[in-house]
This record gives sequence, C-alpha cells and structure tokens, in this order.
Amino acid sequence: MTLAIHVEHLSKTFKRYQPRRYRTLKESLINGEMFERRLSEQVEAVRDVSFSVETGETFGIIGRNGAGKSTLLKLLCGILKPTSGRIAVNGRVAALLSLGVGFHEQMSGRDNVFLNGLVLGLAPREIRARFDDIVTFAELEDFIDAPVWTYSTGMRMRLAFSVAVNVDPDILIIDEVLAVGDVAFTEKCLARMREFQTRGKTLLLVTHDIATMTAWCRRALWLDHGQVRAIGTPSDVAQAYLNELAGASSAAAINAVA
Amino acid sequence: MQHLKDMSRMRLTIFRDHGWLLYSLVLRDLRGRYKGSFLGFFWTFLNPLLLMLTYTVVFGYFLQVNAPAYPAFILSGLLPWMWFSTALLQGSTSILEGASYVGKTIFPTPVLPLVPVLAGMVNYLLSLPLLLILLLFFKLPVGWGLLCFPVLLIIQTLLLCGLTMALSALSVTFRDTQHLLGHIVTILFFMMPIMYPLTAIPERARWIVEHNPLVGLFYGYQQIFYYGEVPHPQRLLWLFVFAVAVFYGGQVTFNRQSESFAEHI
Ligand SMILES: Nc1ncnc2c1ncn2[C@@H]1O[C@H](COP(=O)(O)OP(=O)(O)OP(=O)(O)O)[C@@H](O)[C@H]1O
Ligand SMILES: [Mg+2]
Repeated sequence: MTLAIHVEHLSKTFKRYQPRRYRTLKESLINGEMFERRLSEQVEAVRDVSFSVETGETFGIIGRNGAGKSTLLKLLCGILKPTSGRIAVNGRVAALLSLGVGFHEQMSGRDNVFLNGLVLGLAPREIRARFDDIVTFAELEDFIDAPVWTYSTGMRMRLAFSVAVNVDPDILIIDEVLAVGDVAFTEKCLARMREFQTRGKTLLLVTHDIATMTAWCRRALWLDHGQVRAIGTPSDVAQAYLNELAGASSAAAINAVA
Repeated sequence: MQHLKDMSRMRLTIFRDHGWLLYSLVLRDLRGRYKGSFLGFFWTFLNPLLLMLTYTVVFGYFLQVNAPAYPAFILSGLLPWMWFSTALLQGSTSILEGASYVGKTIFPTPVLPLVPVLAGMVNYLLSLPLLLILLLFFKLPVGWGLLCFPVLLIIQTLLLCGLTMALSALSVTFRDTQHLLGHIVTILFFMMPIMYPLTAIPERARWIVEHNPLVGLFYGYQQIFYYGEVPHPQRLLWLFVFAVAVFYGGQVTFNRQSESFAEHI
C-alpha cells in the first residue's frame, strides 16, 4: 500500500502579539513603558504530530475548537511552513479550507475558476474542457460572470467545491465546509465524494459531526491542544473523544454546583 | 513521495511551475487597466502624451532646459520611468491586496509582486510607437544602439522584480513602507536626468545624481533613442550585475518574510 500523506514530528508555533496593556499615552509615559516591546506569546498550535494516510483512504480529524485542525490542514497544503517536522505528500492536492475566503473578490466567478484551476496545476486547455462541468455542477450558470464578492456563502462553497472535485486531484482536503450547502447540494457533494472514494482517491476530512466521521472515514485522528490523543478506527476515536467531552462537561457541572 | 514544497517561497522555478498563472494574471492586469474607460487602450498613449506635453511646456519652454527636440528627449526616459514607478507602487501592495486568499487557500504568493512588473513591461512596449513617431518627426538618428534595447529591458525587469519582491514582503510587516515609497518615487524622479539632461546640473553637484545606479539605466534608454549612441558595454555589464544583485537581494528578503504572510495578513 502506498502512502498519500506522511507526517513526522510536525510542529507549528505561532507568535501571538499581545496588545499593549496601558490605555493612554500619558499613562504609558508615566509608567515609562513607551519603548517597551510588545510581549509576544507563543501558541503551539500543532505539537509533534505524526501520522500517515494511505492512498485511497478516507481519513478524519476531530478535536475541539482551537485544537489545531485547520492549522494542520494548512501545513499539509503547504500554505503554512512547519516550525519543525517533516511532511511528504504524494499526488496533487486540492483543498476546501475555509468558508467565504480564498477567492479573488473583485474577479468574476469565471475568472476565479480559471485561476483556481491554474493554481492547482491544470493547463488553460484542460480548464476550458472542464469549465462547463464545473459551472453546471455548482448550478451557478446565472452568476458565473458576477464578481465573487456578490456571492452568498453557499454559492462560494458551491463554486469552491465544484472546482476542487473537477480538477481531479489525488488528495482532497475538506475543512468542515459542507455544512453550509442546502440539502440538495450537500447530497450532490456527498455523492461526488463517494465517487471520489470508489476511484481510489484520498480524502481528508475535518468535521465536528461524529456521525459523518464514523460513516465516512476508515481511520481517524483526535487532535487535542495540538497533540495527537488517539489514532485508530473512527468508532474508537469517537468514543474516546466523547468520553472526554462528557467528563469535561460533568466536571463543569459539578464546579457550577459547588 | 516528494517532500512538501513551501509554496510561499520565491524560487526561480516559479516561471516554469506557474507560468500559465503568471501569464493570465498579467493579461488580466493589462485588460483591467483601462477597462470601463471610454478611450480604453488609447490611454496607453494618452497618459505619457499628456505628461510629455506638460513637461515640454514647463521645462522646455518656461524653464528653457537645454535639450533639442525636448519632447523626444523627455519621452525616451519618461516611458520606462512610468513602467518603473507604476510597477514599484503596485508591486509593493500586491501581497496585502491578496489578503482574501494569501494564507487562506492554495496559492503561490511569489507570483503576486511579479505581475505588475511584467504587465508594466508589456504596457511600455505597447507605448513605444509614440516615441518612434517622435523620433521620426524630429529626424533623430536611429543607430546600432537600439540593439542594446533588449539588454536594458532585461536589466530593468530584474531590478523591478527584486525591488517589488522586497517591498511587497516588507509592507506586510511594516505598513509604513507604502507611505514612504510614494515619496521615494517622487524624489527619485526629480533626482534623475529624465526631465533635464545631466549637463543641466552644475558640475560640482553632479556626483549626487551620478552615483545613482538607476541613472545609468535611464541614461541608457536616452542614449539609444535620443542621442543615437551605443551604451558602453562595460557600463551595461555593471548595470546587469547590479540588477542581478538586486534581484537576489529581493528574493532573499521575500523568503525571509514569506513565513509571515500566511500568518499575519
Ligand atoms: N495566524 C495565526 N496566528 C496566531 N495564532 C493562530 C493563527 N492561526 C491559528 N492560530 C491559533 O492556533 C490554534 C489552533 O487554531 P486552528 O484554527 O487550527 O483550530 P481548529 O482546530 O481548526 O479550530 P475550529 O474547530 O474552531 O476550526 C488556536 O489557538 C489559534 O488561536
Ligand atoms: Mg478550523
């Protein structure tokens, strides 16, 4: 079995700048803090993460808000540079990372489709050949020449998803963006993703929906404060994750009573 | 299984890997320049023409700058200068303007500062007929110097790419860069013999201007178009070496900052 993604001891540390504490210029002068450097606090968004994903596998990542899931995906796409560690990727990657952003706002949907296609490694000829499929799948025929800033959130998602699946990547990375499509379109996306799976492509899903994860993934990873807490079958990982959440909420309830 | 490439780094292979992207962004930039304007493409000629007329009246007529065929003189330096200043100003904001996708989606950021440079070059080439008409009109000698034209183009492209890479990267962290740059561009324009010949400067003050390597570039354009001379090969070589150094310096600056684009925008 060949590997699609291989990650070794991956870490990513952000510097987060704290706003200055004092309120007015006078105060700062009196306190003599005028030239004090802003404190920078380190955020370890991803800490020593290692895993690999086999070609053709659907792999899920779960974890609480701020656990580092999106950061991990950005590292896998080469958008962020790792602080340390190693990533190897086998094949062409397409990604749906966040809602509402990722487009050239002033350009039309048509131009965005072209640019996205070029960025993902297609030649203009190949994009022209797929263009109609992309637009038809997204059902945006009437809006394709309007600038993207006029699109609704769902329309952006449609366009982004449609481009991503139609450029025929080897690895598709999705960061919980499917939730905003209407029922009909979500069905369509899921059908396309199934087809994707049966054609032996690799899928990487981040989701907060445990049911989706257990239904779709062959293996899963639980990320907690940037660290891997569990890797294994989706049901095992989900069980561990839910146990911890239940523990946390009952502890909170006890604290609230006490 | 290949090691993942860091997409935000500027490498020379970008021209091969993202050639089509660069091409279509340049085309878009050119189309967008005059889109929606009534005169459209003619602005390519009208812009320099209006500037040239103004300078001709002010410097050629009011101030009596000593240069025969003054309109041809000014235009031979003004056209590449317009490329230079526009590319610099646009290029320096190119990454900030990409805030809706830089660091948020898969996109090779290093193409962004190169786009205004290449689009500006095409625009410059398209405006050249205006200069050629003036040269014919004033019956200026056209010599072998014209063969050096591609060399000057390459030198200016390298210089500009280096500068826009550095400036676009710096203005992500230091937002003052753009304010400063506007002034620097204006000062540079007045401190270079574009509106006046070098000989118009008193001799003891000439060193101020002569030590600016950019002067060599713009004087080169004037030599081949206006003076009908062949630029000195050694000077061209020095200019080329300088341009390569600037390009390399820009690339290093860009790559030092590149990590922060995705995080800070
Ligand atoms: N550009 C950045 N600069 C500083 N800190 C950042 C940056 N991006 C993310 N972080 C921090 O990294 C941590 C992980 O964020 P990330 O977006 O990866 O979480 P997540 O698991 O995707 O959360 P969610 O479920 O809410 O999407 C957070 O603490 C966040 O504040
Ligand atoms: Mg996230």
